Amino acid sequence: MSMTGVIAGRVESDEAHLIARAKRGDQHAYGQLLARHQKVAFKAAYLITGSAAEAEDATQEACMKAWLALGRFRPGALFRPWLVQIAVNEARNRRRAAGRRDGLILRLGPGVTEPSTALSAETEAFADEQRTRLLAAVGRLREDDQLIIAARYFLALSEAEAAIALGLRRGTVKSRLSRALGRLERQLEEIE
Amino acid sequence: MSELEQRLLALGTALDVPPAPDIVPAVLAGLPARRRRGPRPARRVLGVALATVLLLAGAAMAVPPSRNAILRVLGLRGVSIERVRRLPPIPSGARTGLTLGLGEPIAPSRARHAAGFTALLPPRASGAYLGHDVPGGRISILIGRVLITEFRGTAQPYILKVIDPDTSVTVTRVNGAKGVYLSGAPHQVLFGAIDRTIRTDRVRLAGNVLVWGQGPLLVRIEGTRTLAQALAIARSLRG
Repeated sequence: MSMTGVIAGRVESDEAHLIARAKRGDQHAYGQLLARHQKVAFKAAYLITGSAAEAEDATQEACMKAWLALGRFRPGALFRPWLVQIAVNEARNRRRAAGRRDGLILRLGPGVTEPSTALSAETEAFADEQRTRLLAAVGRLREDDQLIIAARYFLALSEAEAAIALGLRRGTVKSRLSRALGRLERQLEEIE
Repeated sequence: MSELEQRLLALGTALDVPPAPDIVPAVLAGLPARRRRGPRPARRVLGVALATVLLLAGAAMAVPPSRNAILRVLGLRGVSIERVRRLPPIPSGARTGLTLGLGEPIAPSRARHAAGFTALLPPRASGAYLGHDVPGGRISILIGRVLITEFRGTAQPYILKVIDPDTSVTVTRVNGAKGVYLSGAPHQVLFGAIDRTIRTDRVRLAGNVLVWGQGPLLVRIEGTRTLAQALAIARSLRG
């Protein structure tokens, strides 16, 4: 087994231990679990609500609900996508309650080029343009496609994790993702 | 991984997402006990039911009869929250600044002992008011746009918050006591005062509200952006 595999195995076993303790009511263990995964849950909620305050509230509510539902959490299951799933549902409910329309809120951050890449001004401008075009193409997709792309690439979840986060079967994630990427390519062609 | 997938991964790191706040302390502070061994004692259930009936009876006198059913009764003693389609009308002139009906302006340094109780004060206050609309008085303290309100409730404090369908409700712990955080849409507060009447609070801010009972006082913090901010202010209050 590779060193990475050994470390990953240890992390998983450690996480299983934390989950087992949290299920017995250990709030400290639950806090450690949340500290590991709150960022990805917040990012998911933010992409849906587009508001830092609402994303924070949605994530907090999701963490509360996850605690209450821990008794039903299957041994050996993955905690991170499970928490993301609850955060996504919470964020979508809040958006619906506020009467806002479907679709992720996708914006580019400032200064997205890494300084270490030392790109020329032209290359940098080209990269920015490419990103802007790709973002616009994702923005044109329907929300189902956006969500599956966001789960897999923006949140960097594995296929298995994306399936849990979106409440789908793994095979369904594979096929839907493939179709979403096809539609994205067509949108890119239209924009170009 | 295809080139498009690689570009999407790179795009994911370039998206405008604010830094994730550390919500763990607030979550842990608000966690209810998950496992309950055995049924609740009958007396406690009866007490909660009675409190609910009293609340509903009191509220029915104070608000129009077209309300939906009570949303839920929370663990916070006697506090109940009702969702409604439309908020009751607010008295004219009760919307901004001094017209909020906070009472007479007083020096923040006088606020601690100006009412019939010892008020809890933050380290810094930009203004303070003394109101006489509830027996024992009401102290309001401003920190910029954040408003802290304190008054003596009943021995078993209860309040009824009438909220818009878009208001979110979070049960949390505040300085060791159970509290409720309402966020999102504006809402209105009805509260039970020491003389056991139900009064409509004329203060209505669009901001979020954290409310809890601390000793004999009901304390409310309005206008913070997040629950974490409200909890930080709550922790800074000293009697």
